[in-house]
Amino acid sequence: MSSLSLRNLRRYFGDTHALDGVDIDIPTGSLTALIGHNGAGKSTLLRILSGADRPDSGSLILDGRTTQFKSPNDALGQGVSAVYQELSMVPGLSVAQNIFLGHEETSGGFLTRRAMNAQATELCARFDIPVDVTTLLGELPVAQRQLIEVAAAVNRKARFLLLDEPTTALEASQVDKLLSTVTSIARAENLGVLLIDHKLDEVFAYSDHIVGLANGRRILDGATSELTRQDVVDAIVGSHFEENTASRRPQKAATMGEPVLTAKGLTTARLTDVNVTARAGEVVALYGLMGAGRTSFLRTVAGLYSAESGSIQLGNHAYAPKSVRAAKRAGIAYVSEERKVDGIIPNLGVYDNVGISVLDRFSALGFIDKGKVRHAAAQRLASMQTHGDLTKSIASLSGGNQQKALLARAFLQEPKLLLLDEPTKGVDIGAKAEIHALIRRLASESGTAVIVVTSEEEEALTLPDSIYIFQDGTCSRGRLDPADLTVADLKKLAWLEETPAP
Amino acid sequence: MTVTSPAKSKMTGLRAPSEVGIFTVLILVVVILCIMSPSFRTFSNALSLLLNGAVIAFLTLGQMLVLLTGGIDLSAGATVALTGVAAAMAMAYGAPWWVGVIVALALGLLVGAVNGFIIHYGRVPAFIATFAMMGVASAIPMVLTNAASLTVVDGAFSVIGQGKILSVPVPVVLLGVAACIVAVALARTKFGVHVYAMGGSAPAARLAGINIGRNIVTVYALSGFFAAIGGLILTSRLMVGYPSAGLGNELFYSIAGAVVGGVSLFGGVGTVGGAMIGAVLIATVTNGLNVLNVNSYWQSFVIGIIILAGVFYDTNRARLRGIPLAKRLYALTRRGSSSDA
Repeated sequence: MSSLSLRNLRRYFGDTHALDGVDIDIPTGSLTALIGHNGAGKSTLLRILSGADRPDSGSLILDGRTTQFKSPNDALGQGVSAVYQELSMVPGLSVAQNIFLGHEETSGGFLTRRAMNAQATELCARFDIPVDVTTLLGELPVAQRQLIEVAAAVNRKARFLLLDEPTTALEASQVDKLLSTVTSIARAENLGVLLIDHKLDEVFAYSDHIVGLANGRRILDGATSELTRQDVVDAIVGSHFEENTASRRPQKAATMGEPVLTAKGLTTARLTDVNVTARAGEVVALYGLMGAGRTSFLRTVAGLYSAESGSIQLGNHAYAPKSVRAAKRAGIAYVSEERKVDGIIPNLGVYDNVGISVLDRFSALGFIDKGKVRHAAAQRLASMQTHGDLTKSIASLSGGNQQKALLARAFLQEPKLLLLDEPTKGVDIGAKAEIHALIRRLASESGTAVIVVTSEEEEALTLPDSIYIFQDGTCSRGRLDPADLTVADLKKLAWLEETPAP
Repeated sequence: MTVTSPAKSKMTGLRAPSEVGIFTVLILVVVILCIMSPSFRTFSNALSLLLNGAVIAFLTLGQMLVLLTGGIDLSAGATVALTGVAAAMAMAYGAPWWVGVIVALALGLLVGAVNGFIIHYGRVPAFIATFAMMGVASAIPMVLTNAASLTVVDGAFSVIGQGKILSVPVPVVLLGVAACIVAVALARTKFGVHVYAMGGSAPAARLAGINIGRNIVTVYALSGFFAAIGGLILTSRLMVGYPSAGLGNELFYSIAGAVVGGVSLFGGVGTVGGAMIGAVLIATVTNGLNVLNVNSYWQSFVIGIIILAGVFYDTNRARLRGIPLAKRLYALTRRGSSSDA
């Protein structure tokens, strides 16, 4: 039996050991599941296996011979094909054209369309995808596109297939169909499949082997039939974080105010029946794995996505934001996770970045009083101990100080409800502590309700007054008190479904 | 496990070609002009309309290829002047007419290929690279001729612009042949699929292993080539090489023709048929305004409005497709809120 193997693979980003000596075997004819917590090194591993990145040391062994993948194309040529979470096909081309994209068949310079359509039809039939292959890909539902992408990858003479969370966008019945099809094709055609998945149900139902990663190291490797869920969760959670961090928590708000936000049964394209409450003066954390729906919830409240059903109450009023501006008018401020994408405006100065949301307040007859904006921004930034040359462009500040500037922008709006997505992502430890203090101070001094999305266990336990754990688009366990939880509990709860809190 | 055929026939049966809409508009404009003007509804006017439209249609053909990849070629009009003068100069130095033709076509290919190289390998945005090339290509003939026009002496050269085959003007025949070749290449060759793929999703095209650089250079070179044919037709019709030819509304009209014909400015969408109908529509409107004795200064105004309508439809086509008009207008008032997370 041949296999694709990694030996002692290492990849460093600065001081971070994304992969710290990993050994993995992907045998053909079976399905190997790769699991791990946020930041465990799965994405880095996938990028290396697909040729998008190269290891600092260690070797790739394909059928007993050491090899290298110089590019995604090179990996493809050697029979390794990756299907990424974001679909990488062309919506404006037909199903058949997408399947053959980059290796079309021709005869005398002309495409053999009939032959290709026939082959594509046969391929789709093999995967049990009921489509007309001349349909434009963009007209098909996402689940079918995902299946077609897998089929196309197999059709590229792939012997190893890497699937990066292929089921996140699918419904239960579609998940079943996709994974059972992949499993049977893998067996029938002797394909080696590596499946990255967060859902233990799927992993146990379909995989043959399970490999677990934590902090860039392999912490689990075994046949699925010989492992229990408890084994897997224990391995991922580890034992190095047993201490209860409650003792380090800041003083809890003495009296909680009235509910500011009440979401009931909120359902959108990515959320199912979410119930979340945030009171005045309270800090609420939303914890969970990537893609569990935390950010979707935040962006729905911020007016970026629309709800299908359920209700949101803001104070005593029903609230259904149609745009970010409507949300802002209703007293909601939102700071996104991607500071560089939709946070800072890099070509503007620090003061303009801080003041941009409240320019109306400093304008008369359509003219902005730049001095007043600068004064208000400077005052706010000084109270936050922002360092760096504030007269320059915001891009010249460090990550932590950029984040403080974005918080200053949100604070200046004097919001009733502040939504923060990973507010301390990529900032140093000192700035992180300061940002935490600023958030607590805002909540206690001005009675703002703050909802913080976080992936960091320590932050989830030390910063908020209460916590919701998201899993697969919902948070069925409801409101939890971080004082009752340990880091290990949090990780377990993010992975295990419908288990009562320990 | 077979694909159900009822679903298939339903899918294909319901889908009307996207050119139907613009073709209806063309017919409407023609009918209205026929009613309004007796001189419009003559066979000779129809031929002169097509003849006048041929240069723009050639530019539109090249522009369409470039637009499909998600680029734009602003140097096409200037290339008309450059190549037209080059042909006249070659003949002025005593070269036979066919050498003049080869010089012009080769020069057009070269200008386009340089555009493509700068855009792909130099990573300069297409808008900037071809904008700069527009300046360069329009200056060269002016400098060489000192802005004076050059008379062509080889009488045989006049066939290109003035000849007729079975009473159809040669430029119209050439256009028909070129349009058919491009249509087949787009629909039936690897090159065609790759051009659509590059404009539809550049990252996906790259991951699929498509040779993006070669295709970019090819489409710009073809745009230059078709501009050169336009230059030859212009020079041949008047038997004079004008260094300022093609610097007027030609570029503007060629982009208008493509966009009105359903070629997306964002790449990946459009057909030769649509683009050619678009070019004929622009030529018809221009001709109609002339026949109706409308002040020629109004022409750009009308074409500008037509471009705006076409681009407006293009930008909003995903939201507007298949939705009743009242709902479309409502949809336009609700931007930015989507449910795909």
